[in-house]
Amino acid sequence: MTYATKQLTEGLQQLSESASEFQAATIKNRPKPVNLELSSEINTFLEERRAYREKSRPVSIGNY
Amino acid sequence: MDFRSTPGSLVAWHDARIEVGFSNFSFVDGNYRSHSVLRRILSLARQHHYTSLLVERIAAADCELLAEEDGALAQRCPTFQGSEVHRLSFWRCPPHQPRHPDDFVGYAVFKMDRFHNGHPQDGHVYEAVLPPVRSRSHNNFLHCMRDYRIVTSAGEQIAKGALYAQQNDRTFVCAHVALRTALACALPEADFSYAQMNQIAGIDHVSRKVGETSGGLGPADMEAILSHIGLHSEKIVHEPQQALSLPTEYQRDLYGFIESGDPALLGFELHDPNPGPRGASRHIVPIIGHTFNDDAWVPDAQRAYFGNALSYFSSEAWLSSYVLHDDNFGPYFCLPRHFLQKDNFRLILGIRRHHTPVGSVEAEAVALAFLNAVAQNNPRSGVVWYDRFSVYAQSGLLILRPILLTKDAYLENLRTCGDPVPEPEWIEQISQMLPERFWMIEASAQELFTVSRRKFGEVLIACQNSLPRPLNPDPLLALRLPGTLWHREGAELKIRTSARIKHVPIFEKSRGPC
Repeated sequence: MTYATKQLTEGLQQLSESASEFQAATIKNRPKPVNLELSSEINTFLEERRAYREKSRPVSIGNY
Repeated sequence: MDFRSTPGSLVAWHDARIEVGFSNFSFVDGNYRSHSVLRRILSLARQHHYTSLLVERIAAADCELLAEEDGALAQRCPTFQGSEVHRLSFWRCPPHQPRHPDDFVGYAVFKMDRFHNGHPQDGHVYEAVLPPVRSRSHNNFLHCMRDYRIVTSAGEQIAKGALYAQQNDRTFVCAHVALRTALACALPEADFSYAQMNQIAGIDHVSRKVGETSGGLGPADMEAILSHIGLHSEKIVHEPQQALSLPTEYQRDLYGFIESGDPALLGFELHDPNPGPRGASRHIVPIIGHTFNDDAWVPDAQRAYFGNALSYFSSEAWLSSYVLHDDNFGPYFCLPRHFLQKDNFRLILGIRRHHTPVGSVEAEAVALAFLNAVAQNNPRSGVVWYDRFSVYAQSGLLILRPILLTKDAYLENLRTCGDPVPEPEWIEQISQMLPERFWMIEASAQELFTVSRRKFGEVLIACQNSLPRPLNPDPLLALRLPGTLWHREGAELKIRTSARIKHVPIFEKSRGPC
């Protein structure tokens, strides 16, 4: 079992053990305002793709 | 007038049943110089249970398109003498007895070009439309099909499928026919002629030629043709010898086009032990759909055993094969997802009916960032399917599926798929604020997505403008998860509860074009 799968299994088990939550037909907790703090990895990834696109845009190589 | 609407003169209407001795092989050997692509087409017609074959002759005097093609050939090849064109149509009824629209299967136009001075006759399938043999029930998803009206001597019929075409290697080559297939599904009128393409690309068959040893179309030519028509294209290139390497696997970009219902052209370099001064030869094919394998081992194995560092699954990982036409071999072939490696991949030219500076891969990554932020900040809500979403998100095991969508299609889907319908006032609010088009990234989990074809919810990402640098919440238009609804109101994100607390079906392709 991989680490991610183990984490998933444990997380789902915790939910399951909380029987009252499973019986919830309506929402118990109003969703609270979320601080959408984004990871730095997303910006690294987007910059890498952006740099590639700018470099590739004028390229026209090969005959098809 | 094109080959579909030109009246033909009857050559023969054959009883094509095997039990009366008709053989596809013998028919093609005896009449069409054992043409392999035509044999493939007759074989597809056989799979559609065709029982008769109508052959009609098309004359250049009746068909402007044929006269135009012959004129171009005469200019390109002084030895060109003329052509013979047959329109073959396939029927599920005895000869001369069509009674029902379902009797008609499809058609193929075969053009035989004749030359002086010992050049052999040269035949090609100018175009063909047949339905694919496999459908959704076989896990085959073709998003580029449409109806084509055809008038035969037996009356008007409708052929449904993705148009296939084959190059003649003199006035049009693989890039022309790949474009033709793609344009046939992108343009309402379905047709854009090779003469029009050549005019835009400056190919006059004198100062610039294509075919034989004269080369073909470059990416810039293809982009110019699309731009001239008013279509947008997105180019993904991989040219390692020019120090230009695609940072991700090309399959994810390719999937982003076809899953949104847009065709894409896939170009690759051939194995060529003795490349010429222009480098190894290249080929390009239109990608028109994909197959799906709900038992795929690769998504799990790739992460667990082979070092894929992604903290989510792209739904593309369950794609089994891309469905394509290859003008060298025929229509409706399957290209296994991992067969064409990055070593040979060179070009994707994705066609978009509307411009977006945000690609599917970027949209997917942005959606993941938002979903992770939501799950980390709000790990439990007491709604079991929200809480399951949160566990999957925090375990890095969400499945994401990006689709470029129209507002109308999304709202229609919200109102008709899943129970209960989200709160009408929320639907009204988002119908006021959503732009005409945006990326919808569906969030799901294994088994829920792969078997039940359902999802936790979706994130809507703006596609009109480039993403902010660094990324901030501005591109987030709306988000729907079990029990919770978000939407943007100016600079603010409004959050509310929802009675829709369970998973709902994933988006299906009954929608119109984006």
